Amino acid sequence: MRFVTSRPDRVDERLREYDRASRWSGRGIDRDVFFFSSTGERLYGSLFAASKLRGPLAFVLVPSWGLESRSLDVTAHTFATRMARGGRAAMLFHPPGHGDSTGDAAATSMEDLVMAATDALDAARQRRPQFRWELGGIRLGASIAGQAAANGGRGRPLLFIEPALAPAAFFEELERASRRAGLGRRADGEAFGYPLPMHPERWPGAEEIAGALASSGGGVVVRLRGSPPEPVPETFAIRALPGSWQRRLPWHSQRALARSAAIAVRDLERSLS
Amino acid sequence: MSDHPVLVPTQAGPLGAIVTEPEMAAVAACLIVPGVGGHRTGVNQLWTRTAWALAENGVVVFRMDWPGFAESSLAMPGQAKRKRAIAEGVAWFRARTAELPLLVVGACAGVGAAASMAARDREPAGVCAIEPYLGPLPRRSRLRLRGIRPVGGRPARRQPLDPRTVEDLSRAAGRAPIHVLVGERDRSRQDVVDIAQRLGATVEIVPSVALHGHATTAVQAITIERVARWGREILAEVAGR
Repeated sequence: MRFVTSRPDRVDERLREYDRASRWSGRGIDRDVFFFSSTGERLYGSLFAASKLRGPLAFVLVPSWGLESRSLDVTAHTFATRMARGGRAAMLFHPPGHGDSTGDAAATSMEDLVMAATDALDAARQRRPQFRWELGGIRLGASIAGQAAANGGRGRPLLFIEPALAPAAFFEELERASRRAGLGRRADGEAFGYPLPMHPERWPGAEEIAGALASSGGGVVVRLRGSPPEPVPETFAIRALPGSWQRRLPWHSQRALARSAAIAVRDLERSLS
Repeated sequence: MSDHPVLVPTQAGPLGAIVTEPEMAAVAACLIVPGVGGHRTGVNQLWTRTAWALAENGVVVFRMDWPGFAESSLAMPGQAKRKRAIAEGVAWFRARTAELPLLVVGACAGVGAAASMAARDREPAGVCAIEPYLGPLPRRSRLRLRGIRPVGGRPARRQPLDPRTVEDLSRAAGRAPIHVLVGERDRSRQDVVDIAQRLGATVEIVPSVALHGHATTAVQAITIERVARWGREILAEVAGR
């Protein structure tokens, strides 16, 4: 067998091809995949946009933490695809220390995640300025989106899917669930194979998130009917679907949540206009 | 090293993938094939970090989400055409790294596909099979209904062997050395060791752990370290020929 190295011109050629392949268009959808910077880390971003705009409202969907950031990807990708097929846009991203992003998940704070959401929003606005970009979130991502929207000014509409609006309690529950699943044999400081934040007690409680949401422009919560209700201001419309939250959320439930969220965006758009 | 996100065009739709280029001149290419329904990033960035570790040694690494999953969600080929979509993705990568020998890393139910890729490649240098799942693959529709298996879930013991997976491994063994990595506590260990011996593969049993599901950060670190070491050994072997 030969032992060769790539010639520099081959490497340059490859890099050019990777750049070309970071965009795809077809079936009325334009896709972009890219990295953007946030708090010194390099985060992965993935944009789904309609080739032909039919509605201006677009959402950056903030993911949840750890296992949920991966296991709820059916919800996220179905939502993004539906948004693009409906003439709108959505952006997904991997938070610090997750997926294809750099960073140390355990050392990541709520402030880092809020900044990541804000930077993702900026990246989306730069790439597709024709849309009106707002923040949405799944599970813990809803708390992060709420905080980020509050930091960005009053009156921004939000879209929450099965929100977890008490971050400190979210991590406590995650750790408990992981211990139950592993019959108590799990390693300390991690849940379902993912590190937990080093100081979960420093994460905001329900009151702090509620305060942030009070300054928002309301929005929509899409949730499963049997899930424990999360306190949201009256300015939020609730869309409840059959079923209840479980960590292994079946794909049909994930798809139903995503479909309902995409329909909710159309209603939200009408109310805003 | 540098990561490059790409959307590989296939007949079924775009496959979301990441190519990791080493800082130095590349000496080999590598495919990482996660288990069925697996994401290219793996549990807690397992495959992301494995790619980075291999790139440190001069390997260009390609890992993609399976068609219909995550960033490949727009590629919905159906069961019959899934293999073709994966083959198109691999062909795209190999067209850009044709001058380099190929390492293939497969995990769990991705081992069959990994072996098949190695068997068909022009210049396979080695296959690393991590806790291979040798039973028949569940139908996609059943996977969808069940949702994602929880981390740490274990396959049933003594599954009937899937003849296609065994054949793929057998064909790959005829073209490149196969190295099997399995945990002492993995339920499939005995089946895996039996097959590995039949194929003349080397077997590395990691003591006191189950690799399946990579349920803890400690187990993830073991896999990354062992795969990186296997990569270095293969590269040294290739250089010595």
